[in-house]
Amino acid sequence: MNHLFEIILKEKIQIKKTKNIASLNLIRIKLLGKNGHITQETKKLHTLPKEKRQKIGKVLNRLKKEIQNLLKTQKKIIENFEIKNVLNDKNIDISLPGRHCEIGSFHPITRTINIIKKFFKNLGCSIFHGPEIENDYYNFDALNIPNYHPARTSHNTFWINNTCLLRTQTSSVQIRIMKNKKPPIRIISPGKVYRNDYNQTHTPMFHQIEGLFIDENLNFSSLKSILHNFLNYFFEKKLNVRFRPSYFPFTKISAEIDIMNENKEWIEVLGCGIVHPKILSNLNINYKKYLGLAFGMGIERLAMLKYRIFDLRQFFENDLRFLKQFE
Amino acid sequence: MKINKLWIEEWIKINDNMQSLSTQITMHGLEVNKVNPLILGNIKGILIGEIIDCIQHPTIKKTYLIKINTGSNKLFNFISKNKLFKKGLKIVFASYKSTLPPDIKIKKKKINGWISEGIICTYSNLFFSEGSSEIIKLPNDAPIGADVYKYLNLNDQIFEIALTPNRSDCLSVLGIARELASINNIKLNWIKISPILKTNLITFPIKIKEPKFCPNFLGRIIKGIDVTAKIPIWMKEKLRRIGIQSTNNPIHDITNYVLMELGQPINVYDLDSLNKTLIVRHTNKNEKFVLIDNSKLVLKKNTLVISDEKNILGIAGILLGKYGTIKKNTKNILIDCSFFNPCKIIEETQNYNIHTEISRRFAAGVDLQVQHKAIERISELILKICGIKKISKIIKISDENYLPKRPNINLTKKNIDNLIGYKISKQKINDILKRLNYKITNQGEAWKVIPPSWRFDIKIEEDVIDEIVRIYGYDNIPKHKLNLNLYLKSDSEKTLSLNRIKNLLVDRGYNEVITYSFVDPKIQKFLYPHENSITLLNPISSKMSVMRLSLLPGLLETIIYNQNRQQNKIRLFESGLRFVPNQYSENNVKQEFMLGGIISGNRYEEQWSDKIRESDFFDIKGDIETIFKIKKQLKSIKFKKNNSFYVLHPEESAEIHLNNIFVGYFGALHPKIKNKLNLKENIIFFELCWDLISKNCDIPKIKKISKFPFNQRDISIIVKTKITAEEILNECKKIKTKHTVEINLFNVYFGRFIEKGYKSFSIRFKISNLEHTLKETEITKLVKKYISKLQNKFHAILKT
Repeated sequence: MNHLFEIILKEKIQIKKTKNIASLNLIRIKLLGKNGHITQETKKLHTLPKEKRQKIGKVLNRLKKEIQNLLKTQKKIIENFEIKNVLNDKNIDISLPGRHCEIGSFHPITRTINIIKKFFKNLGCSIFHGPEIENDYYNFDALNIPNYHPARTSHNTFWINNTCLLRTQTSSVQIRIMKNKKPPIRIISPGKVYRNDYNQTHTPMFHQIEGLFIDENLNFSSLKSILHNFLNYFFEKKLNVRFRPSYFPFTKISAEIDIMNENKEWIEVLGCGIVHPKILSNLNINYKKYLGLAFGMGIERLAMLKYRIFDLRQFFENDLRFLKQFE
Repeated sequence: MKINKLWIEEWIKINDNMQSLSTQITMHGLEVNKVNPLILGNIKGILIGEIIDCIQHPTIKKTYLIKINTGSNKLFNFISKNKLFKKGLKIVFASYKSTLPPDIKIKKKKINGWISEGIICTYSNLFFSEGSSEIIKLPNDAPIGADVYKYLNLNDQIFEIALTPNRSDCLSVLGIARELASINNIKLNWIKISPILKTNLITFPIKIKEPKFCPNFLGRIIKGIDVTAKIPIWMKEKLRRIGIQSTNNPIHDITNYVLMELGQPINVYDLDSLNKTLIVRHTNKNEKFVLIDNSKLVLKKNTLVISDEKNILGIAGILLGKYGTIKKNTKNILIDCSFFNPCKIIEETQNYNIHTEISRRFAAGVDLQVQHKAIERISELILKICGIKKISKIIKISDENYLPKRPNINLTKKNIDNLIGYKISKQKINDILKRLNYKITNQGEAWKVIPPSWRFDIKIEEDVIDEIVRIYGYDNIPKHKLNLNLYLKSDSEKTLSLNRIKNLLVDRGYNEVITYSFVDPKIQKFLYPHENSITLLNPISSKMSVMRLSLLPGLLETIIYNQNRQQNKIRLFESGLRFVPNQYSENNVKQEFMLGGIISGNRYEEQWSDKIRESDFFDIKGDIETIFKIKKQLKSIKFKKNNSFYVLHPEESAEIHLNNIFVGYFGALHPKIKNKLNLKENIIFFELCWDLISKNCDIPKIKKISKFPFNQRDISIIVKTKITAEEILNECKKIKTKHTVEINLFNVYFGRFIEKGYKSFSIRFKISNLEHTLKETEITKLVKKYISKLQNKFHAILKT
């Protein structure tokens, strides 16, 4: 027994010195394992007389528990120590940039069109695209712009031959839709249009969105409320808006809509009106029953106002330093 | 058109309480682009002066010493090189201590020992670019010492109005004033015109051969006029303010004055040079018309002209030529003031592509009620300015049958309410129509109305309603709460959303661009030597003159633009139409919607954590495969060798086929083209026919997921280099098994440890079964099957 005490005393010191789990395990096996010192002594108990057996048994049990507790405590110490080391190993510079966070961007024109689409889709509009090379029937004649009409010359048309041209307005789409669809109609049509102008305020290609609602029970007042709501939605604020009379050959009660900018200047953003009854009847739509509302807007103008773009030409230069600002 | 406030005020009383004129005009349909005060800046102490002495400088040639009296005790000295200054001339003098616009304080100046004490003003001193460099000469009766600001009525405003094409009736002071009178419900005060009552019995033969096109002709003969007379300063100044420069010819200026005042074009001929008769007629074949500049125009048959027995004097309602015009020594004149059929004038302006101030008004229709007044007005002014010895009565030749018919339009309250969506009271409607000078007959809930004689654009009920709302004010119509019927549209999941794919590309680092649809024909021909393009007849420049055959020219140009601005890592995409001549398509052109992208430079920006590498073929291939993955049809596409796109590198490129239909292509730019365009970086490009890929997407149908773990086995094989990955994978897929197998080729290796002409592929099999956990024997058996297949088919050697 005395020999045992000696061993245990020595191992107790060892346990406290141990710095890793593996050596601790070795000590555990040495003392408490199958052939460990304490286990061996316990095995010898049955050879002893009953009285002695009880006494020594108690001592061995106490030693066993003592060792177990010691091992447990030391194990915790070692584990804590090891985790601390693991944590210390990962000492990184969190200020370094993350890996490849590059993304691209939508062109501001697409971005603007998407906002407009969202509003009108919520009103039940479908999206329709028309061709960009048109003939003069769709671009002019059917829109009540006959050959001699001053609107025709003022459009600065790009011609391909005697009859074909690059469309000067998305309004040509109205005719295609009315030809192919029966009322009620609710569509918008975004797209490119072309005019032979190139200076600070004009590019030879630009974008418009045309809108067409044909239904019963529509009127000028509904046109006003649709477009007023739209402008507030688009600019995300309550705007000072005015409707003033204008003239388009294909609408009656034609209006131009101005909004007030921060410099208290009126900026023209939209043209609209009630579809001319002649156009409806030409396309076999009962103009006594149905009324058409049409509107068109220049996308560049809206985008410039929303994103404070000052030079129209930037839209088509596609300078990455410009585009990346729309990430 | 330009118009000044003071001239308008001759017709209506402008009340200070009125909303600003420009807002009024704009809010009622005539858009005012600009309003400027006549004098831009400060003006102070500018007086009328008289030159009382003008002598040659004693020593310096061509320099004059001038003394000016401005009514005070002091006489002012002025030194000038201008020899036109004469004693007794009345001028505008800005002495030292006075101020000229914009804010120039005039000072004494020492010139060659003499002191000049001010400036004799030119028009440009007062009006900048709006005035000429001509000295302002005042009439003899101008009061010396009077303030020029008051004398010349400089407290004026100039409006620039953008008239819509339907409102030609507003192309005159009368028209604008009349419009303002209607808007404000005030009286229009017609200017006083004194008709010449004492006339002489003189005449000249006039024949109207085409009364259909000239249904109203008013003429007058005036004899003994002085065409060297100068028009008075007030007329000169009024013309100048509305943008017309006066000439040496008073008759010309007076004609312009009446045109701008009343809107009626008038022709004046030199009576003595007319041959026998004035005729309004149609041309015969091949008649020649001599223009002012002596150039000749061969007229088409049946052009409406004004002629004498010998020469054509002018194309009716459009322009006059060389014959019959006023000369320096003209004494006797014939005036013509007519109404021509607007459709005829429109036709002729189109035929000859000649558009003049006159044709613009005749084409829209001139007011029949104004012609008589206009001829009296011009007679009165000629009498005042040029003097008259003899004057005839007004000769009127009119054919009622061809005079324009005024429409009788039915108008109902119900239609008005329905169109507007808001009820304007009957009384208000009556009031507005009266203000607009309509003749109205009220019949209960309806009206019969006749528009005024100057409104040729009002034809149908909607036109009248438009007018009612215009005067009522668009802003006074309330907006209803939005109340629309609900229509459901079907956005099919089978259609691939362009926006979804754009989002994908954006998130993969592409910047969207929009380039012009017309491109440089040289570049296009170089990229597509065997294809024809559509050419614009009137391009903006030769570099923007053909319609693009693909998105490539625009994308390449954008790459070049950005590389020139030190951008090296570039990823761009664009969507839009391409235009291919095709006789079977509408308008002989196929307009296809394309989606294209281009990448150049490194795949990523250089970063602390990774090695940089150049973008290549497989970067774009991955992007394309992802697009088809979203479409759920990655398995339905095949990449085939490119045989038709010469712009691409023949090896490093591929065609994309979806269910055996060609839908697009991609690859590296051909080195030849790169060199030619001086592009240094690697460039890879793709283009997809959007309409061919956007339809018929597969909607996911979900398969059962196995509850049991999968097993993974990797093998490496060595095969000949020419054997493709696709061949290997296709062969593996042919093996039938009841297990679920995912096959993935995860490594390709050439090099040191492999014999030349061979490469190694590493393939991973993930095997599972829906019913049970796989036993080792099952797995081994299956993998062996794959191996032996590859061994048989490709002589693959299993690497261990």
